[in-house]
Amino acid sequence: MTAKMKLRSQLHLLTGFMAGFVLAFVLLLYVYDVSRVTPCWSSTSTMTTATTARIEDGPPPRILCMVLTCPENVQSLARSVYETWGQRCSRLIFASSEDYEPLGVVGVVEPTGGGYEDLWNKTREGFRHVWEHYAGDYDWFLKADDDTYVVMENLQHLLRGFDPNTPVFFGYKMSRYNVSYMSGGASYILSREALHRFATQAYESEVICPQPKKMGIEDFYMGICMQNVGVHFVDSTHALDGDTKPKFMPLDLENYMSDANYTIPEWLRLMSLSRVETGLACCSNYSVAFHYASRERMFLYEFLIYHLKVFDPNQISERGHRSRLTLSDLTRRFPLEDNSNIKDLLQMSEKPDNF
Amino acid sequence: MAGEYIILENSSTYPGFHSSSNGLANGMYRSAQRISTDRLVLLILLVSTTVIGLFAYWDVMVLNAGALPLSRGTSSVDYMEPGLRNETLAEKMHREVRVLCWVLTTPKYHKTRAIHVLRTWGKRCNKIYFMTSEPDDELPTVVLTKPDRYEMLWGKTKEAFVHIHEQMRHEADWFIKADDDTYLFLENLRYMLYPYSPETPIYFGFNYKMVGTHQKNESYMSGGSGYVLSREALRIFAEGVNDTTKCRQEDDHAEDVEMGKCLFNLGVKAGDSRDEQLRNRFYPIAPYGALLSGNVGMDFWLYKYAYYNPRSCMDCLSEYPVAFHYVHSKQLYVYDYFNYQFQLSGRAQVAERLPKKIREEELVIPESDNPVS
Repeated sequence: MTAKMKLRSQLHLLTGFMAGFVLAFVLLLYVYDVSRVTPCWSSTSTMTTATTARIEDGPPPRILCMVLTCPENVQSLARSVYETWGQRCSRLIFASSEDYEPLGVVGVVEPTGGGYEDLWNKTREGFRHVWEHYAGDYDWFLKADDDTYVVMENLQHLLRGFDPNTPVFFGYKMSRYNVSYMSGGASYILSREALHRFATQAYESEVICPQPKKMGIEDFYMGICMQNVGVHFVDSTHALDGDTKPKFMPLDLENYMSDANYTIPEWLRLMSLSRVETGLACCSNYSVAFHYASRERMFLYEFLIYHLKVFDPNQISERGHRSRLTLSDLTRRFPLEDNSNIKDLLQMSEKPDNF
Repeated sequence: MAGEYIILENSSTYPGFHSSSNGLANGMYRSAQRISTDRLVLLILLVSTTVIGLFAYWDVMVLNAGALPLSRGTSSVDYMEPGLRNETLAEKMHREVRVLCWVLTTPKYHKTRAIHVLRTWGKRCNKIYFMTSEPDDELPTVVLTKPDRYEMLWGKTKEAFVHIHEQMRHEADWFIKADDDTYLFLENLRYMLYPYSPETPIYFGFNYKMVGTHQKNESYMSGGSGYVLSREALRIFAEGVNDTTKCRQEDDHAEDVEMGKCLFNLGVKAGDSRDEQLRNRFYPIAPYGALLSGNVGMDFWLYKYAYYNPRSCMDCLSEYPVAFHYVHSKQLYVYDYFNYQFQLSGRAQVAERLPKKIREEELVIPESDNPVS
């Protein structure tokens, strides 16, 4: 009896001791790890996301760049485009009034034209030329000025979310006389379907599309044509989920960077659909295009973007897979414009206000 | 007592059978009890050991898994301290290579230049002071006693460095002078300075050939793109600047030339700031098209005065540049935007490593190789 009683007592003591030890060990492990497990798993998750982002989801969009220039600018601005961002286009074409083979300049208007007052005609004929020769070979068609700088990688990142077989008109959306259009200097992009509709429906119609005339305002007229052939206007400001800042800049980037308000002209504030911000909050991290880029400015951007590195920057991991919008998604997110505000084209003033 | 009584009765009634049966029963009972107890103890020990082992294994796995992403490719133990695993390389550099920036400005430019320096690259210095002639609520200013004239630049520079040595020499390892139209990349500066000890008497900048009568290996640093002194160089300068045989005592003449002469005479080495591919990191002009597009002729003034052979092409600028000059205030924000905010889609994340430390006896400073004169 004594032996049995002693054994039972030892058993209880031993069990209690082991349980206490195990519980203490678990508790210590939990307390010790809880502050480190979270960042570790977060980092792992981030790496996973980054890895996913690098998986190629199909070939990159093929973008034809049509840059409007004139004979006086061929050796300065057009050459700068050719030496910098133009090299990253799938194909680069300059639309001018005279051919110049070394840079791929094509004369699309008569030699007496080609000045700023002939911009609309040059744009019409340029798109017609592109459609006749290249429509089947490319997905997207960018129109830029010879003083625009375009970051093609970020443009591809944007366009990856859209189907080139849907009618899409892409750029910095503005409004004039309650009619929507895309800023011409900041560049705009037509999908293959949009270009097709322009060339086959709008180009020759006087009731759909303004005819060539002097001092026609190119980007405003292009907006009218696109609306009237049922093309969806995609404001690049809202084209990336979670990013609501402009990606196409109608002004020199310097004008946005100043905290002073006087550097933003009144016409931009008036005709922009959303508030124009200044300072480092002005622009998207995935900016695409900057206007009023001189030759020196283009090389500066080329240097700052592609050559200069900052040692160990805190790089934000790129967002994940971008699914492509279907036509119904496109209609829901970017509905067709109301074109009831477009008056009779034949009666339209040749030189609108604020031109 | 009751039990004992029952046993006795059974024994007296059937002596032989009872004795045998009783013995067997007792034996079996004892054996069962012993086996059961032993098994319980063994089971508990085994389970506990297994649990402890599993937890230990899980802990090791968690630690190993957590270490990999935080190390960011620098797996060498030399670059990591225990307990600081979450520190990025840039943060480590910010802590280990402390840079005090002082900016030469004037009240006329407080609102148009200096404030923009403070809002852009100035906030990445460990410490920053604006040397001027009037205080300003928005700027960390040091008011100098010298009058505000360009001809007194050398005097102001002397006063600024002496003041910093007397008041602030414990706040940093390196001390860089810049203008209010300079742009400095502090991360790249720390990356450049990391191999050197602040106890080495050395300074860096864009090397110019010395003017006037001079020795062959004598150079000075461009004042516009800035120059950075080690703590030892600062001490030597502050203690020796009043030596009339080594440093100009009058306050006039070009600040950067006089600084170069003074430091040379005091025995401070003029370091070579170029990278491994001999590309300049400090640049006394801005990287405009004239420089980068390769259209500059040989009569460009930079080619004549540069101590080391400059070349004009895109790839001849270092990919980790430190300083540019003649960057006006709006351009400062453009530089900030493209390097700290802008994202290029598809840009590969490169694993960056720190260079090896250089001992003072291993330091080799090349002679001038610019044949243009």
